[in-house]
Amino acid sequence: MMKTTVFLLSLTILMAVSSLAQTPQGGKPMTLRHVVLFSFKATSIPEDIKRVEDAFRGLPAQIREIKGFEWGTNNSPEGLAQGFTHCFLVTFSSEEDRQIYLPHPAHQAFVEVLKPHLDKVLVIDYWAQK
Amino acid sequence: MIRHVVLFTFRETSPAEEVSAVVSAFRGLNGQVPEIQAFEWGLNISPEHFHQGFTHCFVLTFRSLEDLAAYQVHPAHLAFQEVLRPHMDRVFVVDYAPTAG
Repeated sequence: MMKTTVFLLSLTILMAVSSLAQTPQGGKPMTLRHVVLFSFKATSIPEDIKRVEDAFRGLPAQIREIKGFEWGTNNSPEGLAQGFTHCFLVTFSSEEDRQIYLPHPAHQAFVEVLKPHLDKVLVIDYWAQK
Repeated sequence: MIRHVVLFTFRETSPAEEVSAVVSAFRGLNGQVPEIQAFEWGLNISPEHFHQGFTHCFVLTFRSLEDLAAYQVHPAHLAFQEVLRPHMDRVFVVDYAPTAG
């Protein structure tokens, strides 16, 4: 009985430590940001681009691993955006969840809507720190 | 609300401590510039290879374009740029008014 308790306790500690090891902020709820930027082809009309926006916006309802979603169009006056016009900020709580999202059938279907209109894409993922 | 997204790559000749000092200086702006409503940053870990080599991402939140404009010319922001300049390789910036969903 004692051995079992010690074993379970050790296992619990080990699991806690290994989960901390994956998380740069140690124990706190984790925020993995997935920043996606697009520019569209000059031949794509506004209705095409709207269809892509709507398809992306539909993903949070279809993929439960998405914990946060926002987007907007670039209005920076600095001229440092390389022509990228659209920014989407998708939030996950683990790298595992992002790995489920990327090959998810709903995400793949969105990519098919996107593909004919995509000019350039830029993607950055980061663990949000203060 | 306005999000101000800033990406950097640093020079190969810049040692890690200098790059850390740049990050600390940027983080220090949150507190010195009252227009900053929220500040977060992180190192790129995307496995997708669409990152153009950018290693650092900073996302600052402002109430308005006017607040963002005030930040751009704030003395603390200008002082940060002096810390950044010798080490920066490339920079990318987009701003957007976020729509949730």
